[in-house]
Amino acid sequence: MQRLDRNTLYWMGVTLVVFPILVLLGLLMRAVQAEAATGLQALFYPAMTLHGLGMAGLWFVASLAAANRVLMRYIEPSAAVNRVALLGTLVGVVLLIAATLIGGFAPGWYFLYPLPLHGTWPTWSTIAFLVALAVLGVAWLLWSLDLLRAIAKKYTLRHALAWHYIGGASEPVVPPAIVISTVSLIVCVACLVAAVLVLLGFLGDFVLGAPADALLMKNLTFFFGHVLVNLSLYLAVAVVYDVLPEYAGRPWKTNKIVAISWNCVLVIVLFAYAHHLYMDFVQPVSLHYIGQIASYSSAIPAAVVTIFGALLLVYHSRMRWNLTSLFMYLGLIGWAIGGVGAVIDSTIAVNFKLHNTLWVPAHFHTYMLLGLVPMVLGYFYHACQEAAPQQESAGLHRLLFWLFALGSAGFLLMFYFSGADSVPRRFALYPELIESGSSLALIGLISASVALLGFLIYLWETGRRWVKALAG
Amino acid sequence: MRCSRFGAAALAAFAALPAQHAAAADDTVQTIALTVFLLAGIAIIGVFVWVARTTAAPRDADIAAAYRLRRVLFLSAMALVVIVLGFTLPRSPYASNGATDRLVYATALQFAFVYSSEPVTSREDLGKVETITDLEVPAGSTVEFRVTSLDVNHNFAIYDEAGVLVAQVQAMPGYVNRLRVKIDEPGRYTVLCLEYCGLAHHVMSSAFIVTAPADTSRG
Ligand code: HEM
Ligand SMILES: [Cu+2]
Ligand SMILES: [Cu+2]
Repeated sequence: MQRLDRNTLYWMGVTLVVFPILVLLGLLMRAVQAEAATGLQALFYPAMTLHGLGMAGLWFVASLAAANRVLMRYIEPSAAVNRVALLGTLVGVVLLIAATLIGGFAPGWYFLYPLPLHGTWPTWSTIAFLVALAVLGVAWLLWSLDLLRAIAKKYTLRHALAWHYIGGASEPVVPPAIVISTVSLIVCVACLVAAVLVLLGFLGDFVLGAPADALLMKNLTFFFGHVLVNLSLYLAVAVVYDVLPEYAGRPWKTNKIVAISWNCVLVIVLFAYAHHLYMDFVQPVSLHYIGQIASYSSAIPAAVVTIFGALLLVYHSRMRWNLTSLFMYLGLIGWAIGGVGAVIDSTIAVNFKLHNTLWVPAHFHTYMLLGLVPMVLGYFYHACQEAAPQQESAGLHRLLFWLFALGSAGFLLMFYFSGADSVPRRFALYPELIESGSSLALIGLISASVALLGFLIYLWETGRRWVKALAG
Repeated sequence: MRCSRFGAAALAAFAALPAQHAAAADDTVQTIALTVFLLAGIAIIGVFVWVARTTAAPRDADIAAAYRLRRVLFLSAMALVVIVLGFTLPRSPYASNGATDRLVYATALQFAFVYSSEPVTSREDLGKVETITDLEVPAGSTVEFRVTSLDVNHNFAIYDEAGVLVAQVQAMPGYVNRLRVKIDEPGRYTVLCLEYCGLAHHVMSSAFIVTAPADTSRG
């Protein structure tokens, strides 16, 4: 039995409670789009804003919490800082819920400047939102910096980034989780700095009445958003690197190739964000091209090193298939497939036809809902089962696995079909011109409900163990 | 459902697309994207399922062989990236300075599009500049839309009568984006806003007519 610290337990509790609520908001949106809940149309954009911000934030902290726990095998992060981050996150969440659901604040999850200042929502909701952003930014920055501090206490930067492997040495041994987390946390600091600049841009306009440059703000916003989502995924991958070997009965170690690939990721991820601005023709064309080249390049280390490495780990191994290993394996599939959807859309000539259609939510939901989410949920089950072991029911695990996987796949396919059918994203209702939108939304709604059912069984399985671990 | 039509022929059609996109009423690019995606997705699932099944017969992996395979995969991936970049980058839709038959200023604001023959840079201009209420352009001519916004970020997306997205560009306050299109198919084209701009985002729309060559002489 391995004890689970309080902080990790709390982060798990928050994730397991908040996730299904945010999924319900997702179902609500699909229901409105399917014209099955027209009475709730006014809720659509606030729900969209809360769902998007909530999910992006939730899965960032969930993967950071999972990575934090894994890293505790090697380093000693501060429990107090972790607790501060937890409290800060809760304050931020309460403010966000108030702003969106009570105030009707609805500028979408990336709150593109200057929309938050040009809405029909009351000023207090904009203020609540900006305060939430500041609190969350500070809380997460502290947490990231503390983890970096703890890493720096045990490893030099050279070792933590595995540069000695690139140089040909294999001592001291540095686990992949450390390397990937270091990369992720460094880009995390960069991304939170961009968030601070965005916040300052807003304050300059809001308080001093000095408008910021819209193109600069958009670059900063997408740098922040793109990096945040990607590094959440990397942190989940770090957890998989650490835990999946236990199930495969084989080691998965850092080597020269792994080191090179993650150091490339560190650089590439900072430039790929430019693919969000392809349709801003005034942006320098060289930046557009850099965006496409960086986006394509980012696929190579992911596919050829990490995914290939994972497959090699499992190939003819003595794999113990249970909820954890199934979910982590599923997460790798979703990451790979979502990556294909992303690379296709990062082609400028294709983006011209797919930008801001439902193809965009299609690909990012793929690597979140079928990638990061099952990776982290797989880990949470693993940690709870370790801390409070109970008899495992293989049949139930298979059932919930298939409900979740197939339900999610159906939901995602409808997004892809819609995107290819030119259905815009973020439309509460579809115009007559785009007839297929609402019927595809209905199938999406039904499929997503099946996925939710799968999650509820997961919740029963993990929740029971979580409660015991909390009591024990 | 158009999306259920895929074909390998689509790839050939993409190659035929001129670099300065002819905004014809077709969904070739979308079809290729979906086809490539579905094929790649099926291949990925196939590989993962196959590898998962090998765990029924555990044995030691031949690491040297695996690393040779990885080398091949790496080199093929690099080659693929370079080829696809070389093929797609020149097909980017960015405005060139070729001949323009018609210049239209399109100004977006919450929640409408305004067309004019002169630039609109502020709300005051709206009263002064003469706006075009029924925009008509002849088929086959090159039209340049100079797109901007007076408030928040919007987008200017042209849809054909079949609901296919033909061309788009962002409308950003303080900037002018130049979208050049040549539409060959006559008909009514709808303009939608594809950047979320507030609670009426999904009803922000406009339209223009592409007239058949026969009536281009009409005033
Ligand atoms: C079964 C679960 C889920 C359902 C049913 C769902 C549903 C939806 C729907 C219907 C939209 C709006 C699409 C549009 O018209 O633009 C949306 C947007 C979004 N979702 Fe989800 N979603 C789910 C899971 C997730 C997860 C796991 C994430 C994790 C990050 C996520 C993040 C987002 C984000 C960031 C947006 C964009 C919001 C915006 O455009 O402002 N969703 N989701
Ligand atoms: Cu708009
Ligand atoms: Cu809009």
